[in-house]
Amino acid sequence: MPTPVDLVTDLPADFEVFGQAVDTALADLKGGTTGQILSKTTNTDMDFTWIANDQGDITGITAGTGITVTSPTGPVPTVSINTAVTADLTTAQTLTNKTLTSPVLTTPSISNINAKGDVLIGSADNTLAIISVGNNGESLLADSTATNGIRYQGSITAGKNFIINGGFDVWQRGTSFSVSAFNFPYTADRWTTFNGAACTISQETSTVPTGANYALKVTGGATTAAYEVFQGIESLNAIRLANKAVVATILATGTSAITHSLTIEYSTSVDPNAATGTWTGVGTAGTATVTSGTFSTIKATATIPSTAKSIRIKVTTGSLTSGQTAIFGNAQLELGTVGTEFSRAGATIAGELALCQRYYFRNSGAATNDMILGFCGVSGTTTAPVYIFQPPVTMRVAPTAIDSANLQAIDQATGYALTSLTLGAGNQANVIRLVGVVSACVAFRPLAINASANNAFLGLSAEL
Amino acid sequence: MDNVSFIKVTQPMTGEILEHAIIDRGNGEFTSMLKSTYEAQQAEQSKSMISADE
Repeated sequence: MPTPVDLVTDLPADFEVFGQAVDTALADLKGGTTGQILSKTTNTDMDFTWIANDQGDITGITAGTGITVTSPTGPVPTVSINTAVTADLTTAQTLTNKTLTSPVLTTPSISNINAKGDVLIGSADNTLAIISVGNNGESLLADSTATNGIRYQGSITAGKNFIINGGFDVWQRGTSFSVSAFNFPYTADRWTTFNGAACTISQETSTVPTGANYALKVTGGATTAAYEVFQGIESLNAIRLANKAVVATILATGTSAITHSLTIEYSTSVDPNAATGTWTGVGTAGTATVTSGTFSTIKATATIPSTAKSIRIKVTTGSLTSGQTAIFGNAQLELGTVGTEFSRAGATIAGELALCQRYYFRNSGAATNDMILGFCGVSGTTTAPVYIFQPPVTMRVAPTAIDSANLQAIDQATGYALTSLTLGAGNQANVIRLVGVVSACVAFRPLAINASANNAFLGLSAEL
Repeated sequence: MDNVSFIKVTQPMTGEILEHAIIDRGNGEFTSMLKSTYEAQQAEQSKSMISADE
């Protein structure tokens, strides 16, 4: 190559030399083809290579599940998401720490479920468990002692309570009883007592369990003593509990810091008197030391022996000084080991009264001339009226005793003082025959019975 | 205090005689029952009193 200071002596020749040098230096720029681009071959100046214009371009796309490739190459390939995705039902899929918002599950399968009737429940925070199906007729029951907090139990239905008048709703015989030592009267319907010291048993209307109207109150007598109150379950009902687990519960309050107890007992005799029969304790008795005005639950459990024919629950007060009280409400005996919410044996007050009247019923008249018994009597002579009538419900057995006060026979013209009224021959559980004695009535007139003075009553007992 | 007396009642029509215990409760109230029932109750009560004293 000539320099600017060279003497141009042969311009064509010099120009050829110049041209050849340029051609040599730019040789790599020659060649190539349409669409190719230059690429540096080495780091040497002017060292190039023509290459295809595909650097950084997408040359192809492989479609996965749910994707369709419309144009697989660049510069802008085209893909689309299939709207009808074919689910992979055979390959296990794991979602970890994913939140599904409002998922719609069609025929989901949950691995916890093992068998027909299994119920999924929570056993702890964020933890699922199953409860296997119970026996036919059983219901789910909340039970904090159960592994999962819920379990199956039968008899969660009306009639589960084997104690009649457990709510102390029915007091046909009166509302307050001065009970002598070694006496065993019935007090609230179906509830009797037997103690070595005198006490008072009465209907409590102020301090009662929530939702209840009444409770039974024992008030200590002159001699400091503990007192017992019983209810016997007749054999026809008790036999259903033989060889089964039962639980008895009762609510208790009264004078503070006194401990009361509840015991389940059985007898191998049929229908013994609840107070005076021969009874044997069974299972675990319950106790509670009470606070005045606050009801505590006393619970006793037992498995009733297969030989049992009768059952009673025994409520024993702590030692009461004169005037101290023990108040009890909502007594219940049921199958199982967990005491459930109280319900009446007869479901409604009408049902409960009917259950009580199977053992005892009383017609009362508060005022003179109040009616006690309708015109169901007649006297074949002037002295011996006979009354034949049906009790309000069929009694347990033919009645065995009459309670009465201030009664007279009436024939709509005259009242005749009844000097005695006794059970007649031929009594049955559903037809009762009473024989009275009067001094001089008119023979063959229909006779009723009314009150000859205030506070009259006629009671028929078929109690245990 | 209970006062117990016994009476015999002839049943109209049949002439059968039933013996009853009449318990006077002392407040105008009476309880009556067959004498046999009364005696059975007394026997049960006696047993329980002995048991309670033991």
